Amino acid sequence: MIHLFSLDDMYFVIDTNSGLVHAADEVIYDLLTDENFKYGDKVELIKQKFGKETTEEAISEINYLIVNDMLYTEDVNPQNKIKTAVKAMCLNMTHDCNLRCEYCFASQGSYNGKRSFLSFETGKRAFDFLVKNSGTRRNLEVDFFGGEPLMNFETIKKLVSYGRSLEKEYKKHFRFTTTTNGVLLDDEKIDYLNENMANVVLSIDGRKSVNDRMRRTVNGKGSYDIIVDNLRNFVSKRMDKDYFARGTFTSYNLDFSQDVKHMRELGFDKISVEPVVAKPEEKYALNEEHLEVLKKEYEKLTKFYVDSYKDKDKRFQFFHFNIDLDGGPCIYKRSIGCGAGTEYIAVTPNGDFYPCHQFVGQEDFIIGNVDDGITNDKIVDKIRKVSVNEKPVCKDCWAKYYCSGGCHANAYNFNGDFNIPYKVGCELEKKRIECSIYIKAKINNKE
Amino acid sequence: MKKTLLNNLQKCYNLLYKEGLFMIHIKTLNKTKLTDNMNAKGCGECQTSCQSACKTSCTVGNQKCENK
Repeated sequence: MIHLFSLDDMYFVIDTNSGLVHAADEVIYDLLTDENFKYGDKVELIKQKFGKETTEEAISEINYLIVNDMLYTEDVNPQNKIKTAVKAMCLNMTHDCNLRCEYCFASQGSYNGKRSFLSFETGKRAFDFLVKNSGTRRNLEVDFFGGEPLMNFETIKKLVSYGRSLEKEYKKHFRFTTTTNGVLLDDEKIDYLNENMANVVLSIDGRKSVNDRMRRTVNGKGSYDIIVDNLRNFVSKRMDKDYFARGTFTSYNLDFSQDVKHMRELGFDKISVEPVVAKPEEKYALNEEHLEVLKKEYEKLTKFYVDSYKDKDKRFQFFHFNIDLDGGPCIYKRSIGCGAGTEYIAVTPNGDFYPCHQFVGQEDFIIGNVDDGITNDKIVDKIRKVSVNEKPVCKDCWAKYYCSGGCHANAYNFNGDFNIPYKVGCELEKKRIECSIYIKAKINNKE
Repeated sequence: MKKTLLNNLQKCYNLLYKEGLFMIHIKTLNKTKLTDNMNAKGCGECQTSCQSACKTSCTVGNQKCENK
C-alpha cells in the first residue's frame, strides 16, 4: 500500500508497511498515480510530458525501490507482542473547576456528577494498584488531571512524594505530568511544577477574543486576562523541560493558525492545538463541511512553521508536527494504539476506574476501582482486541501506523463502536501527517 | 565468476544509491523501516499518547520511543 501526496512544490510517496517515506518529483508522482508505470499507454503519455529519457530513468528508480523492498512492501500484521500491563494513570484530582469552558468534555469539571476532590487515601490506593499491576514496566506515568487539578494542589504534592517513595521498592520510575487552566498558577505552584512535572499542559485557546468566547469564569467573564501572565511566568521559569501551551479550536475559529501565531507571539515555543470534540448539534462543533477549510488552515500553519524555522529565535515546536521518521514508537505500539483501558486508566475521586478520561461519567464504562482492581474484563478485552489491522476502515488506510487507529472514545461516542473511527478525526490526522512529512523534508533540505 | 560479477555490480549499485548518486527522481527520507529488527522491539515502555498534549487526537506517531 502506498500513499501519494503533494504539498506546495514537493511530492511524496509513503510506503505504509515499511514506514519508508520518499520525496519524489512530478514524473515519479505521475508514474505512481493509479500505477501508471505498469501500463504502456499511460507511460507513453508521461513520456510526452516529461521526455523519454526522464521517464525511463524514473521507471528504473521505481523498479529499484520495488526490487529492494522499499515500495509496495508486503502487508505485515504484527501480532501483539507487547505484554499489556497498566502503566499510566490519569488521576482526576478534582471533579470540579474554577472555569466554565463551554466546550468542556467533562461538563465544566463535574463529569455530570457531584463536584468532588480526590483524597490522599484514594490516590495512594491508585498508586498502589499501579505499581503492583504494571508488570515489568519500569517507566510509569501519572497525569494529574481534572477538572482543574491545582484546586487540589496539596494532595498532588503528597501523592508525588508517595509515588517517589514507592520507586525504589518496586523498581519503578514515575513520570508526572499535569494539565492546568492556569488560573491558580502562582509562584509557589510554578516552582513546584517545574521541579516535579516532566510535562505540563497549559490551556489557552490563542487570541483573547477566541479564548474568551469559550473559556469563561464562573460568572461568565473571559479568562484570558487572568491566565496569560500566569502562563508566561510559568514558561519563563521552565527552562528546557517539556510543556505545551495547548488550545482547542472550534467552528468559531477555523482560522486557528492565527491563534498559534498569537501563542508564539506570547512567547510560547511549544504549542499544540486540538480540534474540539463535541456533539454534532453544538454550534461550535466541527463536522465534515469544515474539513476543506481546516485542511487549508493546516497548510497555512505549515507555512508559518517553516518560515519561523528560518530564524532560531522564532522557531517553535508544534506537537502534531513532531515526527521522527527513523524512530518514534515501534510497529507493535503503532498497531495497538493509545492504550486506553489496557495500559492507561483514569481514576475518579471516588476511586472508580475508567478506560480513559474521555469515558469518565459514562458508568457503563467503569472497569474497576482502587479496592478491587480491574473487575470488568469484558470492556477491557473488547478494547484490547482493537488494533489497526483488525478494524476494517483502518486496515486499508495508509495512515494507520501514524495514527494507530485514533481515539477509542471518539469512535465509541460518534459511531457506537470501537472499531469504527471518527471520520473527522481521521481526515484531520491524515492532513497533519502530510504536513509533518513536508516540514521534515523542507527543513532537511535547508540544513 | 558471473555470480561474483553480479554481486559486485549489486554492491556498486547499493553504494551509489546510498551516496545519492544513482537516484535522481526519488530520495528516501528515512534510513530504517518499521519492520527492521522486529524481534528487538515491543518493550512496551513507550508513553501512552494521552499523557501528552493531544488528549483527543490520538497520535501515537508523534510520540518518542523510550527504548533508546
